[in-house]
Amino acid sequence: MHESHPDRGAKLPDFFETYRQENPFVVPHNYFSELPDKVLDRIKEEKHASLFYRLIDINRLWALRGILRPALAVASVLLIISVFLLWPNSTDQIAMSQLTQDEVTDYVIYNIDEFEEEFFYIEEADDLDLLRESLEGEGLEGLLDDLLDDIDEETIQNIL
Amino acid sequence: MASDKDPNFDRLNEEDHLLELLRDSKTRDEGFRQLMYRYQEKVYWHVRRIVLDHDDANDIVQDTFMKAYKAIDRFKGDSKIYTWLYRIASNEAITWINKKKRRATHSIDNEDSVIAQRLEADPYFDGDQTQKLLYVAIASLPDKQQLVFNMRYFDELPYREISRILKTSEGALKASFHHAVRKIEKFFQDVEV
Repeated sequence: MHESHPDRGAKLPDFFETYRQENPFVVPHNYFSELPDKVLDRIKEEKHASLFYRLIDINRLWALRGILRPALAVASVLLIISVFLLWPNSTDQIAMSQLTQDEVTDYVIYNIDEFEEEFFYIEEADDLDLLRESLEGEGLEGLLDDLLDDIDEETIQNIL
Repeated sequence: MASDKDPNFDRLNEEDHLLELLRDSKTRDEGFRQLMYRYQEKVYWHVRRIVLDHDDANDIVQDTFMKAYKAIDRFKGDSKIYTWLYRIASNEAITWINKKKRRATHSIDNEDSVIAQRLEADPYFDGDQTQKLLYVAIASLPDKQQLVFNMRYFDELPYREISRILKTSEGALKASFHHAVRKIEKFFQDVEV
């Protein structure tokens, strides 16, 4: 058994010996003389590509840190302002019904620029109608009584 | 001088010099060029006999050397450079073969005739009918037997070296080669019948 084992001195069959040294494959002309350059070119391309990404990722950002830092600061401030300007608008609407008349008046006084002029005309006209209705009949008497209750004697003397 | 007494001295000395060039980033490219000139043909023919097609072999050989370049810092020098290159090339070639088998649309039963047709159509194959059948027979072997047969039969590497490349015991390699030879002989007997 051992004698027939190819690695223990037994020769390979003649068939194998005949074809051992013959190479039926060929390569394109100059293939081996050009191959090292092709591989080295691929290595260079990969190096450039990785260098490019590294520059973008790290060095470029590091170089731009002088611009990026204030830009980020400004962006942060704008974001905070946006949140303050936009967020309360929706909450205001919810809270309006819970505000007192004085709070509404204060708000209008402090934000007078935000209101259209026509808005006040309408509101003024509505108020005048309401006042007119109030001053008719019993409303007028009630209003006078209220005013008299609020005015003390010293004030009346000062007026007179 | 030592080089007069020991025929391996110059080769070992050259390999050490090559490693020095490869490990220094300033001389790495030049060292790599020398490495390619020295080993590219051995690596190419090793791969070509596995994948048979020149274009496929070209891609695999380029990938092999690219991987070697990137991994040169991890090469500890505990084996010869070509042992290391053969290992990378063998893995690349077998991975490629297995990928191709998974993508194949034909059945495994038709594998032999597909390989024979490819060789016939290949402008870079110049062999006769027997040589064509020999490569079809080798291609039909299991991966490990194919590698062992090629390294032993064509490259004439000693089992000790193949053992280092494939990280397999010499006894197992001898058995693989024995089985491969028997299978190829049977392949030819079946063809003649």
